[in-house]
Amino acid sequence: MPGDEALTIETMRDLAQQAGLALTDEELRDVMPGVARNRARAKLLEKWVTQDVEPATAALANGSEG
Amino acid sequence: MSNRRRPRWRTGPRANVAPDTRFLSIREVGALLRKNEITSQELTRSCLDLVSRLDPELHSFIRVTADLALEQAATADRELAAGIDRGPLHGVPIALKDLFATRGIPTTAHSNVLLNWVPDEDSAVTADLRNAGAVLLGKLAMHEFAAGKPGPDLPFPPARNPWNLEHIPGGSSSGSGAALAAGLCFGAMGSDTGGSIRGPAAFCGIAGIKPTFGRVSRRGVVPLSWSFDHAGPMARGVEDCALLLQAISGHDPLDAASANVPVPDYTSGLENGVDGLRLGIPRDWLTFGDGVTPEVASAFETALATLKGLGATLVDVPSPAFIDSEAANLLVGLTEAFSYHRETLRSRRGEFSKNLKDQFLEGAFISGADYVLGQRATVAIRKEIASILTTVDAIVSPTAATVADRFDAEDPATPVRRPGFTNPANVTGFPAISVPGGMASGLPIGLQIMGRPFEEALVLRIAKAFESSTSWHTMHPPL
Repeated sequence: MPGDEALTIETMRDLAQQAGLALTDEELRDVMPGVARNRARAKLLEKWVTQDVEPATAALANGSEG
Repeated sequence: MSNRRRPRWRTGPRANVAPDTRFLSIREVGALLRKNEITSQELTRSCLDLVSRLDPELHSFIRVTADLALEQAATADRELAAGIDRGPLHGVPIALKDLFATRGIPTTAHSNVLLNWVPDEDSAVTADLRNAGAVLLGKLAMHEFAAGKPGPDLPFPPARNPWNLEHIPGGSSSGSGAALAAGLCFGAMGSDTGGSIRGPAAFCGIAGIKPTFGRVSRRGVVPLSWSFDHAGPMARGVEDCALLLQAISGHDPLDAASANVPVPDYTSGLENGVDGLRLGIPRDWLTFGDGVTPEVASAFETALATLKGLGATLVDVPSPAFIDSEAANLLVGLTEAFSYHRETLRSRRGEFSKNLKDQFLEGAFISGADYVLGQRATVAIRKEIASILTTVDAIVSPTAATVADRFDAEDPATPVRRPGFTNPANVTGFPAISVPGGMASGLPIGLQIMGRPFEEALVLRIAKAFESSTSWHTMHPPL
C-alpha cells in the first residue's frame, strides 16, 4: 500500500510518478524529511481511530476468516 | 452638495488638523463620522498618508487601491449626508488579505503563480464589506497561498512586525496583523487553516477571530484546505471583531460548506462578563514537548488570574485531543493543498517559492489511506473536544508558545517542538479568538479563547471581559 514502503529516493520517485510528478532527485531529497514527518503523524493518529463498530476488524487483525 | 455642517475641528484654533484617528475603534470613528467631526474621505486620506509614510518599511500592503478607496469614501460621505446609513462599517477604511477575490483588482495570494490574476467577481466577504459601505484601502501581504513562509523568491517583500521590524508578524495573515497594529486601517480580513488569523493577531498585539466552520462564506477565497479553511475578521479590539463578523456572517448557498444557521447579534451581549462561566484549561498541553516559553507561561497565568478575578471558574481538562490536533491538521491539510495545486506543481512549480513548493509536494506522498486516517482522527478529536465543551463553557490557552521570532532566526540544531495551540479550532471547526494577553521583550503575547460551534457571541463576550480588565490592547507599536 502506498505510504507503507521504506522511505528511499527510489520509492519516492515511484510515488511521485504515480502522482504525475517528474521530480528531480534533489527535489525528492528536499521533500523527504517532510514526508517522514507526515508518516509519523499518521502513526500518531492511529490511536484515534477505533474499529469497534466494524465487525470484521477482529477477524482481519487475527488473520482469520472468522 | 452636502448639507452637513462644517466639521468643528476645522474652525477652532487647531484649524485643518483632523482628529487623531489612527488607533480609534470602528465604533469610535463611526461616531465621528455620524457627528460630522470627520468625513470618510478625510479618514481615508489619513490612512493612505500613514500607508505612504510607514509601509515602505512595514510592507503590510501588496497593493494600495487609493483611487477606489477615495471614491468609496466619497460615496459613503454622500450617503451618510443623505441619511443612508449602511451600519457600523459605513465609511470605515479596511483592507483584505490578498486571497480574497476582488473584482477588477489583482488578487495574487502573494505568489508568482497568481501574479496576473484579476478576478471577475468579488469574494462573498468582499461583497459583504462593499455592501456594508466599508472603504477598501488595498490588498494585504500574506504567506504565499496562506501556507509558505517569508523568503527571497516571492513577488513581494514580507510584512514586518510593527513592534520590531526585525521580527516576523506571524502568518499567514501577516499583512493584516501588521497593518492593524500599525494603525493603517480599522479592520482587516484574514483566513485561518491552522491558525493564520490568530497567530498574527497574537504576534502583532491585536484581536482576530476564526469563526465556526460554515459561519462565513469562503466563496472567492483562494483555498488551502477545504476541510479546515475559514475566513474571519481581525481588528484592534474585540468589539470591532464583532462588528466585522456581523457584516460577513450568514448562509451562502453558493458555498457548499456554508451553514444555514441563524446569525445572532454579536455585540448585544458583549458586556455580560464571565461571572459564573466555567473555563477549561488543558494543562498538560502547556508543557507538551518543549512547552511554552517562561514569559508566555507567566503571561498566561496572569491572564487566568484575571479571568478568575472576574468570576470565572477555572477547570483543568484533558489535553490529548488538543495535542494531537496538529498532526491531523497537517496530514489532512497538506494532502488537500497538494490536491488543489497539483496541476500547477506538475507544470509550473518553478513559480512557487522553494519553501512552499517543498511543503506542497509533501502532500503527493501522503497515501489515500493516511488521508482517510487523518479525516477519521479529525472526527474523533472533534467528538472528544465537543465532549469536553459540555463540561466547560470555553477553552482558554495561550495563542502561541513563544513571542514572534526574528526573521533571521536559524533553525536550532535540535528541533524544538512547541504546542500548536491554534490547530484544534481548525480540526474541530469551533470558533476561537486571540486577544492581546501580555508583552515580553517588547513583543505581544496572545490569549486564545475557543468555544462551542456557533457560539461566537460567547467567545467574544469572554474576550471582551478580559480586554476590559487589561490594558494590553491599548498599547501600540513605536512606529
